[in-house]
Amino acid sequence: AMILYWISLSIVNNKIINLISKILIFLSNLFFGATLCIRWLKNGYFPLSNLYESLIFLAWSISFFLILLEYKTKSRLIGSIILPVIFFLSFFASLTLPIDMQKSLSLVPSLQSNWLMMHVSMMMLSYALLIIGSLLSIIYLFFLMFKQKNNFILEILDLWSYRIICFGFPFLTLGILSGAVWANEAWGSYWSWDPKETWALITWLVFASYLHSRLVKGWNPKSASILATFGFLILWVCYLGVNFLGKGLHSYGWI
Amino acid sequence: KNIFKFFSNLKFSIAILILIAIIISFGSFIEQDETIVFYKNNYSSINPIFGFIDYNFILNLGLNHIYTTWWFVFFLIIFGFSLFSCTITRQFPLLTNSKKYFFKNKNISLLPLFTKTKNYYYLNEFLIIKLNTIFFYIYQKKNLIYSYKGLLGRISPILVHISLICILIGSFFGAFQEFKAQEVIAKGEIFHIQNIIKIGSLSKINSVNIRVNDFWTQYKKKNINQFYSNLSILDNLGNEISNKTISVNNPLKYKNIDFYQSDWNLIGIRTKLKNNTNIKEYSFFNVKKDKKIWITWINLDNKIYSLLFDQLEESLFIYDENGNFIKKQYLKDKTNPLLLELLTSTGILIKSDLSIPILYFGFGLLIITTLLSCIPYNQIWISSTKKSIWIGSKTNRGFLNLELEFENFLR
Repeated sequence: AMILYWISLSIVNNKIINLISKILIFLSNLFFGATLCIRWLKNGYFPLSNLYESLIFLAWSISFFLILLEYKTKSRLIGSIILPVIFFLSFFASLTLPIDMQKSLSLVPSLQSNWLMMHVSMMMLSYALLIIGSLLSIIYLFFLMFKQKNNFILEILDLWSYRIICFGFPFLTLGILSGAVWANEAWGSYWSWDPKETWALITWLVFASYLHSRLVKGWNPKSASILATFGFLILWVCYLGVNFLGKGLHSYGWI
Repeated sequence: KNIFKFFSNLKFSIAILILIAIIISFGSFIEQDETIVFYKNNYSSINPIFGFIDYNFILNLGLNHIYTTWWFVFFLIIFGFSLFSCTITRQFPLLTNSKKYFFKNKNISLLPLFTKTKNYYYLNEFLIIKLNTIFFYIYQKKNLIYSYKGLLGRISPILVHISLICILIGSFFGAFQEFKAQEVIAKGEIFHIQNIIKIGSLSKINSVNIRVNDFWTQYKKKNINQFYSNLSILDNLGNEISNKTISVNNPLKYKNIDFYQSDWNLIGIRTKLKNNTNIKEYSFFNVKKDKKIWITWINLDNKIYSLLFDQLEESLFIYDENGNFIKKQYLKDKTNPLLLELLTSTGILIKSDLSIPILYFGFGLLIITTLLSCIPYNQIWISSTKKSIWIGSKTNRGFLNLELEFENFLR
């Protein structure tokens, strides 16, 4: 399995020539997917029970959405921004995580539920979409500060960012709510202000205010993008940062 | 009227969203619901964080239980009121969809996307047919045509607000009448709901008799897989009304009260020699808190042995009185002349909350409506004179999509 990951790493690094890079992105997506499927078949449960598996799943979903977006928009701009993220994710997952954390252990009783598939996968998919969307906003700000000439690119970036975040937001809602329902079915409390839950809610609130800021009369795409940037940072705090706090119901991803 | 206007102001709403986000983030930095001593030790007055955050600051402002302080609840109420006033002032008028408004004085050149072409033979009618084929609803008055598509995307934001209000109301209502209790019961015992952890002002607890019939754990590949408890609900005469085996994600629901399987404990061991009818019972002690290792000492033939129970191997490590290791006895092994039976106790979490159906309804509605809000609402106006035709359009979401549709449409 390790060999597979090495291959996927080197593939993602290549982003030069059009057709080759397209095939490589497709292949790396397949590799991530294959890794997940193999683990699924071997262990008998959906591969989302520890930090390693969730990182691979996130890398898979980002590359999946990347392929979809490139097909829809016929532009390589998104790809060149997103690919470093995928690279860092798979790098972090394969090389820096200790082997113990990469092993698949049997599920603890509280994770043995069909809700595991629904809740965690929805959260990861929403993270993927929101990461892509907010990264585009960051690049928008970047272009705004340094390049300033090409108005068309700026508008397009802003628009894509809005549409992607608009699409990722219901997934985030679904993920948070399915987590609440699962918690209620498993231990009778749909919301316990766990750090991860709290930060997921903060992420939701920030992206909700981003979506609303577009409706303000005379809105400035710059301020909306600043909100999206905050959303990006908060998302990473929610996903990885809370593991360092080490307490609560979600402390599966301890380092 | 003015109050509504203030609360439904968009900038105000964004501000309160961010404010709530910042407040709840404090709760993840400052430990919640700990003892006063804890805060005294960790946030001393001698060296306060940022110069002013010491335990007095925390306790006075209620930062040790942020999510139940009166000011947080107050902000939530303001948030709910803002949602409500926005729904009433801005969104309900949208629902009327009055045709008069759309036909009044529409200067097409003011729209984001517009074009003007020469009016030739039956172009107007051709355009109408084209609009129909791409699923637009069309209204016509004299020589002005108004069409739209995607009304669902316009109504859904209203329903999003309504479902959020539903969830807020549900959780407020729930806080008053819910209760939570925790019981640790040995195998074979009967218990009632007594050990209450959390209760609201209007809660009512019905009396229930429950008996724990059995408790066991299941292993898979040397790891704990699942805990099971078999519970019976008895009536006041001791007859069994209902029986169910519960496990961690599988609770027992009886008359609005839910029983959840939580943790377990080992409390003792029963030993009996095969050729002897004497049954002796010894208590097990936890070696370290929160670790699943227990130890006890038994007296057999006037010799003292220590037994260490390891849950993962389902076996006992037996040591003599000097601490030397003798052997490892698997519990399943029946060849030993000493018969052993473990006495376990199971932890049951009891919860009742009548607001759950309201909340679930709000959740479901929110999920559907946030998804539907993504649908763009596109409007197209066509105004024709003898010489030329003006076409203009407007959308509330997918600007690019509309552009493409528009281009295709004009072909």
